[in-house]
Amino acid sequence: MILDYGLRIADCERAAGALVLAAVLAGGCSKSSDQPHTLRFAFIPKAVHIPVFNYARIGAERAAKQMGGVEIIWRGPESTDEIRQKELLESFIAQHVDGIAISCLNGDLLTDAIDRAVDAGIPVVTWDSDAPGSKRQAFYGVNDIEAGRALGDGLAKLLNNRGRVAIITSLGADNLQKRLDGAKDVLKTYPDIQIVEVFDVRDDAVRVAEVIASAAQRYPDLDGWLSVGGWPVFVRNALDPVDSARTKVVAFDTIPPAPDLLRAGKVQLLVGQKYFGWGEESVKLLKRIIGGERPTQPYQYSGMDVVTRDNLDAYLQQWQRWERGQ
Amino acid sequence: MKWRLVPGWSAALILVTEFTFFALLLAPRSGGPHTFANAANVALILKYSSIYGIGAIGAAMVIGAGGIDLAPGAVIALASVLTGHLFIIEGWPLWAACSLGLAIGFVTGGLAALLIVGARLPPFIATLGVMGIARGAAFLITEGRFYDLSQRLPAGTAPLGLPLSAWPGAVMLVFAAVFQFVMVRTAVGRHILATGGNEVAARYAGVHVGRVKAFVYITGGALAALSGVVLGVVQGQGKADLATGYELDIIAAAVVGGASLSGGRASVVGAVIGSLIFGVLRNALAQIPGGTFADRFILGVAVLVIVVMDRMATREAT
Amino acid sequence: MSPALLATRRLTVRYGATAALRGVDLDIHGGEVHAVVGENGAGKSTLLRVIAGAVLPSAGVVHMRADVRVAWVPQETILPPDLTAAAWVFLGRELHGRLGVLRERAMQDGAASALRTIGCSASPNARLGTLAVTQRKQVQLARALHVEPDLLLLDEPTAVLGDSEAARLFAQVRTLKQRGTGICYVSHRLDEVLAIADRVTVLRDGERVSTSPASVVDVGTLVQQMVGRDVQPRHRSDRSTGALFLQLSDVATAHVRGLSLGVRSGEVVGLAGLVGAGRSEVLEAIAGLRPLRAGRIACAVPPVFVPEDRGSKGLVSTLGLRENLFLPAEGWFLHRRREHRDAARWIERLSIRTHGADAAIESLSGGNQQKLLLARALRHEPRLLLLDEPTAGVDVAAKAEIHDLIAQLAAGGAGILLASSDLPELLALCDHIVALREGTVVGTLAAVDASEQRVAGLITGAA
Repeated sequence: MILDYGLRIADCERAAGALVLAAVLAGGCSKSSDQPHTLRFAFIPKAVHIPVFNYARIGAERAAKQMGGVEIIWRGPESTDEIRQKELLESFIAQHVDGIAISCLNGDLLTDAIDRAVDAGIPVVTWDSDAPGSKRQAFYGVNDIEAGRALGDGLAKLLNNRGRVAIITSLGADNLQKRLDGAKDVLKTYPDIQIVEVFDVRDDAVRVAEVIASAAQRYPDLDGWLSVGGWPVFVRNALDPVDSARTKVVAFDTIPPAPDLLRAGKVQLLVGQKYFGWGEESVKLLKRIIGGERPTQPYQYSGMDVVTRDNLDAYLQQWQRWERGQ
Repeated sequence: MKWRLVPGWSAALILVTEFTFFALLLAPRSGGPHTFANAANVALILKYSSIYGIGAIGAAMVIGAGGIDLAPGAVIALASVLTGHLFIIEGWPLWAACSLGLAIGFVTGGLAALLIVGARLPPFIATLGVMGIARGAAFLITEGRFYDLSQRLPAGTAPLGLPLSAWPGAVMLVFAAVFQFVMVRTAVGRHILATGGNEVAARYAGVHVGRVKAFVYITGGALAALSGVVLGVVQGQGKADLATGYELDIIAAAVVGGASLSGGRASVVGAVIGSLIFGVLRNALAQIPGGTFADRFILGVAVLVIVVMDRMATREAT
Repeated sequence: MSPALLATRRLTVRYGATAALRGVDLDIHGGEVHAVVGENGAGKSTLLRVIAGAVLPSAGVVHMRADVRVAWVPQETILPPDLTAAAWVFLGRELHGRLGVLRERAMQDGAASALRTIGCSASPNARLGTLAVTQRKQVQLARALHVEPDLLLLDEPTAVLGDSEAARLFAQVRTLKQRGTGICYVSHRLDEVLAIADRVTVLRDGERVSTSPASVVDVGTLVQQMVGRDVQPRHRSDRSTGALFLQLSDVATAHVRGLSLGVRSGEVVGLAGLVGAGRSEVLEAIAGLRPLRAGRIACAVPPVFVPEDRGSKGLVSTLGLRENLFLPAEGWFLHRRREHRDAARWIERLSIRTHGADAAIESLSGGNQQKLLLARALRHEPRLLLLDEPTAGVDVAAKAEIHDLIAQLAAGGAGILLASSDLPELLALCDHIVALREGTVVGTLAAVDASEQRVAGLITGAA
């Protein structure tokens, strides 16, 4: 019995060996032709499960269709695993894609890989979260420092320049760090505003609910929350423990359900990014770089939207126009 | 020729078949270079597989001895963090920082051995505890920051003449050879498999099962730490939340490579091949059009298919 | 005799290159006890496995009506340690109420009654891992009987039973016979076989040699047919004894108290006792594998221990023959060629029937596994040997070989402590017999004064 099966194994191995040989020969024998081929752009978000990036994808695919001759490969790590994102980036370099657009979980970690891509002739743009030390040709996104300042100013105004506030962030990503710096700088200029604690939610929308709930216990007289990311407004009930009459909340990102929370009064101010623009503009930038046109300076700031209850309806109408591609 | 179905051989067959399958599937349609079956991509697969592969060597031995280890992911992180801290903050020379980073693996492994052999805790519980302690220690050291080793590592650093990106693969292959030899040609190897196959009988025969178990857990910890040091230096970053959950992939690699979770059967070479099987799969999936949402699902299905096929292959007709 | 419950025609079973059964024709009728005897490796256990459906034949047929209820009690007594005795008795046929809830109480009572019938003292709630080998065997028997089978297959049921337990079993067998159950009885104990069987089939090397009514054959004829030649029964010869190798003083373990004995060079000392008397514990304590509760153990030379229950305490089934033989391995590196050579020598010296030095443990019959275990011990050239049930489930010819070996070792100056429930074995081999009952020594007999009756009386407390 063992002898019989052993021979079969040997047969299989021989067959497999023949297949490998055939594949290698086939690969080597194919010649490159002269036809213009579709440009393949790889888009790598921080993680596939983060909802805010879906809009980037919509924007990218729409721009690709309008332009023609561009294919979008949307690929990201299943969790915010930096090593995995780097692995994907390196895989795309090995695949010799025509352009890479990436939102970096950890810009420093990705720097040498990005440089290698650029050196190999693959244009790289970063969006949403940058790798400032790298050779990437452009960054498209909100000016995070200014965005942070807008959050700080907005909260200060809501509190009449006095009170105790807590900050929510996630350590590691460059864009979040910049927003945090911007917010803290602004708040420092208000002597009567005190930052009691900075919470790291590790990019986890579930953890933020926990953090807010336990902080409500620890700091019962908290006057304000400032979140440099959208985690508190990505889910409906994270802000439930917050007494909206007493405590003001400013947060980042305006994607649903944030507008509903704004309307309900659970959050008072939102800073929105150009989500569709991440995709659209990155595609356009890559096309231009391939065409030989390099942006004069890498920072392509998108501008931001500061949304309160007063201009919410106007903002939502604008959103619908963005969705339709206008 | 008499053929005994040694664990590990079927894994090799699966790897070859898998690679060939993807090479054919991803062959360029309209000319141009092959994006999958080229030397650079294979080097890439080797580099990223060894993150799990080095740890899988240890896992094969632990599982062979009848145990299980849940700590490797945390130890990888701790070692990378320690190395980073000593290299960047304390300014130690690289070799010294790496040595201490490696040493922490002996400490965590020793702790596991103490709990399992000394206090007789079930390995699942004991290594779960070590995992928590190691991960916690990593966060305590870093306080949420990360260490950027690449600051002090100029581009083109090539310790011992080997470029940094080749180190993970080289380390994995070297230690695979070493421990394959241990498992197959030394008394320790036989005692490990005897302990896993029937601990009571091994003890009655005169095997020091306590020493055997201590050996595998300490070695497993050291190998995980080695993986962490290499990861930190090669990727240039020491972070406390690295490698979260990697212990499951490491165990899966060992099992796919022929280790039996009931103990007594394991293959070091098989475990390394198992990590390559998953590495090839992850790499190939990134090249197949369609969303990455299916990746995790496909990997899970792949584990099941491979293990079922392997069990069917090694079972004789009764 | 009622019509055949079971008939096999040209039944053949192959394991790799070895044929365990070759063209065997056999039938079993309701209301008969059909015994199957044979040498080590003759195929007896394999035959039962095929009938029970655990093994598929490589060729030939088994004719059996689909509605025949078969109960099989295998030779091995390895059971899941965390199940209770009641759970095992009812496994697969649990009593449950309407919502599927188990009727634990009813099952406990049912199991208690079944255990009582077979004469087992264990509680139905006892976890199988806490029971001794004899009690586990009785639980297996209780389960088989509880099924009320049409066909009962017993493989060496009395190997781990004492005399009184065996007597209870036979009573049950006779009851079943009267009810029309067919019983296939495999055993090495030829006296027993002739006492209980209606017909006896002899297997040799996988083939059926003969089937005869029990009334027309005797032990000698059977042995001759099993072995194919004449075999003389062994005699114990006189031995001179020398230096004291082992001294136990007032030793206490979990179930034993106040045990004192000595073993001298060239002497064989027997430990007799029923199940639960604590014999294995004592040997394990001497070997250093179990802590002492009281007393002192002094070994002048290092003891070598051969445990009982070779399946669970002796051999590692995931390793092959050679690897089990050289366990623990000496030195740092393994020397495969040297091991092959030495293994071949041991295989020959102990007449281990196997197809090669790397055979899987499960390809060896019980007797050959036991010889392998002994070979492992003998590798150490022991001066002091501790043997626990060395011939459990081993047949006449192999048993004789092992007895010869023990006698040779003693003649060569080794001291041997032998724990056994086989009284004839103790009488044949030992210079002294220490009888244990419920954990204390109830008598020490010199060989000249001992008889089976006296020893049995001491260990059961009947005399």
